Amino acid sequence: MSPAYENDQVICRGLSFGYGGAPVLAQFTATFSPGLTLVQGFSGCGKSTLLKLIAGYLRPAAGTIELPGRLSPTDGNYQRTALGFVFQQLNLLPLATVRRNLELVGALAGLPARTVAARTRKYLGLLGLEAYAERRPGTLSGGQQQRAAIARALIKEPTVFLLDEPTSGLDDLNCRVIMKLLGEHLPAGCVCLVATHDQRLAALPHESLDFNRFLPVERHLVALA
Amino acid sequence: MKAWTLTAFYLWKDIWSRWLETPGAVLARLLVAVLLGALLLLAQAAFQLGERSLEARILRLGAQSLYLTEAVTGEPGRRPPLGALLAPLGERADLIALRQVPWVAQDEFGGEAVVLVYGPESLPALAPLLAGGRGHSVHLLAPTLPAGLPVSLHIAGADYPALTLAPPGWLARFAADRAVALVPVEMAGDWLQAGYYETTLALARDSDPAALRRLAAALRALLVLEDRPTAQLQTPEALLDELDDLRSLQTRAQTGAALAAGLVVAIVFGSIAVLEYRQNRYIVALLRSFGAPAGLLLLRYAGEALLVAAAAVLLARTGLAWVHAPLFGAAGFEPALLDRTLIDPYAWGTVWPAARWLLLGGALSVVPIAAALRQPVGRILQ
Repeated sequence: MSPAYENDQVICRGLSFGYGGAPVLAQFTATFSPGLTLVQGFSGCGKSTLLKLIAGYLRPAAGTIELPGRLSPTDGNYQRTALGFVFQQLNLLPLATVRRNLELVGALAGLPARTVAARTRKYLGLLGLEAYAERRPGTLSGGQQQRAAIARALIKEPTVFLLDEPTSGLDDLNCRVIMKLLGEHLPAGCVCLVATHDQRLAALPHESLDFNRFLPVERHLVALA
Repeated sequence: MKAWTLTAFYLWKDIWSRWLETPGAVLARLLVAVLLGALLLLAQAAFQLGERSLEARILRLGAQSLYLTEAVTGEPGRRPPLGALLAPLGERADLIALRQVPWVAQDEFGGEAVVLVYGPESLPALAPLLAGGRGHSVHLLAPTLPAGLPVSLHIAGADYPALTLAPPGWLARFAADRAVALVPVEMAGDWLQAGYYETTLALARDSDPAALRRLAAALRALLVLEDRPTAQLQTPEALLDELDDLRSLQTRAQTGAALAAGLVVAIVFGSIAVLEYRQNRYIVALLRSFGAPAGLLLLRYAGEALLVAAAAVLLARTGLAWVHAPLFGAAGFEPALLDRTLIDPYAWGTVWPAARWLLLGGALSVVPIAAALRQPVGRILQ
C-alpha cells in the first residue's frame, strides 16, 4: 500500500482574474515548489494579483489553487496558520508595538506563548530590530517597518510565504538584510514567492517566473524608454 | 483564547485612539442618542404622570360612584322615587337616595341648610353616619358647626330638634359645600307633594371597571324599563374611557417613538461608522489578512455602538431624574405625583422598554459595516 500523496507545492491551474476591465490573469497555470521563487515583470502585469489569489485575499474568476497540506486559500485557518504575507505598504498595526504586532499574529496562528516569545526574539534579531521592539510603527523608518513586517509574517514560520515588492524603495543596506534572511533563514519546506522588479534580488539563489511573457500589457513602454 | 484577547484588546485600543483623535464623531453620536433617549424618557414620564393624575381624579370624583338625578314636579306620588326603584340593585351597590324639597331649614344661629329627605332604602348606607345621632330624627350636617351640637331647625313653619353631624365627603355631590338638614321621609309629611329633586348615589361594591360598566348598564336598562326619561345618569365611564384611551395612546406612541428613535440611531450611528470604517478599512483589512475573523471585527463596531447607546441612555436617565421635579412641577403636575419614591418614571424596569430600541438601533448600525467587511482584502490592501 503506497503512502497518501502529500502535496508540498503551490499549484495554480487555469487561473483567471480581472478587476472589471481586461483580465489581469487569463488561464494562468504554474507550480511553485518549496524554496524561493522570484515573480518578475513590469508594473501592472499581475504579480501582486497572483500573490493575493494564492493568499486567498482575492477569489479567482476561474481556475483552482492547490496548497501544501491540502488547505484552501479561502480557509481562515490557512491565513491564520500557514500563510505569511508582506504587502507593499501598510503591514503593521499602528497602535501596537513591533513586539505586539508579532505576538498578535503568533497568537492568531495558535502558537504557544513560549514559541511566540522565542520566535519573536529570533526574527527581531535576524532583522536587526531588537532595539525597536517596543516602538510603534509610526516611529520607525520605512526600512525598519518593512523588516518588522517580514518578521511579523515569519513568526508563524509559514508554509506559504508571499512578499509583494519587499525591497521597493529601500536602501542597499536594508535590502541586503532582507536578502540574507530570504537566502539563509527561510523555514524548511516553505514555498516563498517574491513579486519584484528589483534587480538586486536577482543575486539570490532562486527559481524565476517572468510574468511579462504571460501578459506583456505595457510592452509599448519599452519603445518609449 | 489569547489570540481573541489580544485582538479584542487591540480593537479596544483602536476605538479609544479614534475617540481621542476625532472626539466630534463619538460626541455627535452620543449627543443624538442622549437627545433621543431623553425625549423618549420624557414622553414616557409625562404619560405615566398623566395616567396617575387621571387615576387620582377618578378616585376623587368617586371611581366606584354613579349618580342618578331626576327633577320630579307635579303629582310626585304617581311615580316611585328613584331610590326605591333602584333598591333591587342593593346587592351590587350601596345606595344613598336623597330628595331635595323646595324648603330651606334655618338654624337658631341664622344659618340656612338644604333640606334632604331620605327613605328606608338609604338606611343601610346612612347607618354609620346616623349612628352618631343619639336618637335624633333630624340631623344638621354643617361644615361650620361642631359635630354633636343640639340645634333647633325651622322648616316649613315648624321647629324640629336636630343634632349636628360632621358632613361626609360624598355629601358634596348632593349639596356642594352648603349645610344639609337630613330628614327621614316619615317626617317629611306633604313636603314632597310640591315636587323635589332627587339624587341617588350608587357606590359599586366591586371596584373593577368592568363591573362598574355592568352596573351602569343595569341602571340605564332599569330607567328605560321604568320609563324614566327625565332621569340623568352620571358615571365615571367617560373618565375610565379616557384612562383606557390614554393607556392605549401611551402604548402606541411609545412604541412608534421608540421605533423611530431606534431607526434614527441606526442611521446616524451607521453613517458615522461607515465614515470611520472608510478611514480605518486598511487596518481592518490587515487584521483580516492575519486571519482575524470578520465576526470579531464586526463585534468591535457593534460593541462601540452599544457602548455609546448605553452611555446615552444612562446620561439621559440621570439628567431627567435630576430635573424631573422642577420640570414637571412647572408643567402643572401635583407635587404629590412628583415624589420619585412613590412614582419613579426612571426606574430601570420602566426605562428598559424605551432603551432597548435605542440599543437595537445601535446594533443595527453595523449592518453597512457587515456589508463592507465582505469586500475582499486583496481589493483594499496594496
